[in-house]
Amino acid sequence: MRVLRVFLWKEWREQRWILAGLAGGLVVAMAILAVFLPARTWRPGFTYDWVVGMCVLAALFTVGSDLLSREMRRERLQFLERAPAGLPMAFAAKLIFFVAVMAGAAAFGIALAAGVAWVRTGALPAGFFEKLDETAAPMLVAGILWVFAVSAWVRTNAMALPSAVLLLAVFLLPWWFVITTFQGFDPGELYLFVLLGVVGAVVTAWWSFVKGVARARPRRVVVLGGLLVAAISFLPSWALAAVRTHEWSRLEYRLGSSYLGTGGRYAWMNVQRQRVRSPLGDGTWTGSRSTALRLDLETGEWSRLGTVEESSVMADFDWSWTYRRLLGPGACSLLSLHDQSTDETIRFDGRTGERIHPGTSPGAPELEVEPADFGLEEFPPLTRSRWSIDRLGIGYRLIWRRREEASSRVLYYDPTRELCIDHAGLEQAAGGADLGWLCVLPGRWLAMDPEGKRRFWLDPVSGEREACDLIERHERVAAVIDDGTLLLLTGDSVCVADPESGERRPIQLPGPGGEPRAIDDLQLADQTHRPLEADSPVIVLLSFWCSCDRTTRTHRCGCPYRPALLDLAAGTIEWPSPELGLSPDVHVGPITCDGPRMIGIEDVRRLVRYDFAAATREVIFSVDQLSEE
Amino acid sequence: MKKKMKILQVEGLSKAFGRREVLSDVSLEVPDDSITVILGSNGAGKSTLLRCVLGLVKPSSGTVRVLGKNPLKEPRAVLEATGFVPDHPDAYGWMTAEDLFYFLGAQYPNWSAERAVRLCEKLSVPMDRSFDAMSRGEAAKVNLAAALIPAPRLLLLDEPFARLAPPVREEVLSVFVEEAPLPGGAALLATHDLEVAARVADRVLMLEGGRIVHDARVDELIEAHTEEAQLTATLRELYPHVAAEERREVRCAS
Repeated sequence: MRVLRVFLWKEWREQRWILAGLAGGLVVAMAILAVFLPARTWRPGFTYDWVVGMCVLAALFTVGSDLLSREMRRERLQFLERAPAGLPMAFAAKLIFFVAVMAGAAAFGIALAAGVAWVRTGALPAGFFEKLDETAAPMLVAGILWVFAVSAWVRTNAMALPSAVLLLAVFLLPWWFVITTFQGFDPGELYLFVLLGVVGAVVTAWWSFVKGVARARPRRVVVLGGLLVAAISFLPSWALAAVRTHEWSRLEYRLGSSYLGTGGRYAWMNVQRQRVRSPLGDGTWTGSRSTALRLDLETGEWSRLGTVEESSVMADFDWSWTYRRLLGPGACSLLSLHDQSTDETIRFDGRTGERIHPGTSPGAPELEVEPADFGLEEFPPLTRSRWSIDRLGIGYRLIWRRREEASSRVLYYDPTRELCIDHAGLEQAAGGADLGWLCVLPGRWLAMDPEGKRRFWLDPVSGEREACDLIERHERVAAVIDDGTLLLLTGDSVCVADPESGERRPIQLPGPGGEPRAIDDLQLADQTHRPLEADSPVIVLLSFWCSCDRTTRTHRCGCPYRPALLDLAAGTIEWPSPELGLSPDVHVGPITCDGPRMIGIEDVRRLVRYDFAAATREVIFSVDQLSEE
Repeated sequence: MKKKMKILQVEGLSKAFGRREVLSDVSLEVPDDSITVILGSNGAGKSTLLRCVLGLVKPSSGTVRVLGKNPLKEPRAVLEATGFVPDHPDAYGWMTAEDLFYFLGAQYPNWSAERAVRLCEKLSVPMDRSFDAMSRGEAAKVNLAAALIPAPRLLLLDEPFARLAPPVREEVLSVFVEEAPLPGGAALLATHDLEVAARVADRVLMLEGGRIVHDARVDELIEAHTEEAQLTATLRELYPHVAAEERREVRCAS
């Protein structure tokens, strides 16, 4: 300890005036900033990020990068080397001194920043450690240590910082690839690599200063040897990057979000490759790369629309899209392609599949469902840019959200009575009812009580409330039928309930293979939220519980949603015919429906056209076509 | 008769910097209670030989043993037992003699404050003046004191008296003669000052082109050639190259 103390004393003696000058300079600089910058500047973000950063950077540039390079520059190595404790003890002292100076600079910066903020604003800014970025801070620590390491290779400390930046830029290239391809490392991996980076920097600095320069080795040996040691410390992360790349190249494509264009001729699809789970991480990352495709549903021809694995297509969420989703068949009139490589957005006409050239106004898309049919005469075209339609419940309920300066105004529209009710007034009239769930039915609205336990009938005009005995607490409204009845899901059965008469009509629900099973969920394959037509069959998606104890439902099974045909007139739900060739274990995600016909994504690999009534199934596109290309 | 212990053994030592061979197959032994002087002109390899002995330069081939220890494998043990006076003062410029002694004192187990005081008084070492402010002679005194204070078994001196003013040279040389070698120790002095060699050497090695070309005991030289008082002249006759270097040095100093 005595020897270490002596070496620390030597460092202190060499750097004390520089440190004093640095502290003085920072105080003066901060005083100037305090005078000239307005008080509002001294918020925690600036105060800590910039002031502390400035102090640490200044200390790194003046003292931190000077500790090792000073010995090289002054050719004092031989004096240190022939002292009995030699270069190892000198290095240990320098490392300790470096860490102390950096920590001291950060603490000095915090104190300085807090002091100036207090003088200018009259209050101390929020705690430093609360604002500390848990990812950036460890990486910065590692980066700072690399400046220390690289300073053993250069003649002047001014070269240490740019050299370290250059080194890290080259050595972190594989990281950059992983980050851009897989949207980053898992937190566990990141901390491991930061730890390796810290250890690597210290080992590289130690080798360069203690082993590299010893015995009069030339500088090129020091630099090349140091680079080799640094490269070894980066090997684990490079290896993981290589593993990731290898796994990535073997990954299969998956069909992601897909859209049908207006008219039904074209489909827009995103084929994705998703990142595999890392053995080091918690597996929560789901980064993926997407390639946008356009498919001609008539000919089966497909084409890429943007850069491979750097393009994605989505429905253009203008008012008409929302409107169509709610009331129409769910087809898109406009689609936007975003290409990440060029940062370009290209719009396509959903009907023709053609690109809409920049500067050309696509105009108001043709609507297949006239707003006037729903009493929305005033909606287009005058207010379309200022209002949007949103869905909060089921049925005819619409929300118009006016985009005004500071707040939005929410209106509820009841087409059955052509009422337009203001949200604020309604909430007051309903006695503070929770309107987070609302279902507009012909003649009356169904709402949820504030506790979210019971439903009640609500007159939106008078605000009168009436208990709803039709629906039990455990029941869920699965759909609204156009004759004013409700399709209720009770947990192990499905029934149609008539609010007028209070009558409940069960729907026959055979389990797969004929055995009865507790139903978990029922969804309409048609995602447009139009009310069901009482006299035509529709496709629904069912999932089941896999528990013997239906009351506790403790053992949940991971059954996928399975399509089935709901015939309200007959009061039955039928599974697809085996002739359709649809395996019960295959997940099917619908894109669009028309009665018993559906286009959907099967097993996230195939785009398939089904006709449940005729028991036909046609594969339109498969991701295998991409692999075969 | 007491058997002489070998303080330093060098066998087949060669060192090349790139293609330039500085030392070639050098072998020597330094017994205890002796002062060995290595004579040689500039570039003969004297400093490289001393650095190899200290372990500061790795030999291309050959072995070095200080008190039986390899300086490359046991550097601390070798350095603790060795004192070194460099040809140029290489301590930090901000250091005073007091600072240097504080810095080195913690590292040598045999460092003695009493010896430090005695030697500093004897050499009139300026304690509170930094190396940057010292004359060459003052720096040489501090370095000699720093090398002697830890009572090293092996004292290595690399041209310690070169370019010193005559009175200072005499003062430093007197102290060296009085203090070195310590009982049971040895000194290896590299110089091209034949007068110094004549005054202090028990044995003279002539290094030329990296090779030892002549190895003679001083008493044998005296017996064979001349009286002790004329030893310097004899050495000048024997080693004309070194004598020329010596004359050049004197001209530079004057």
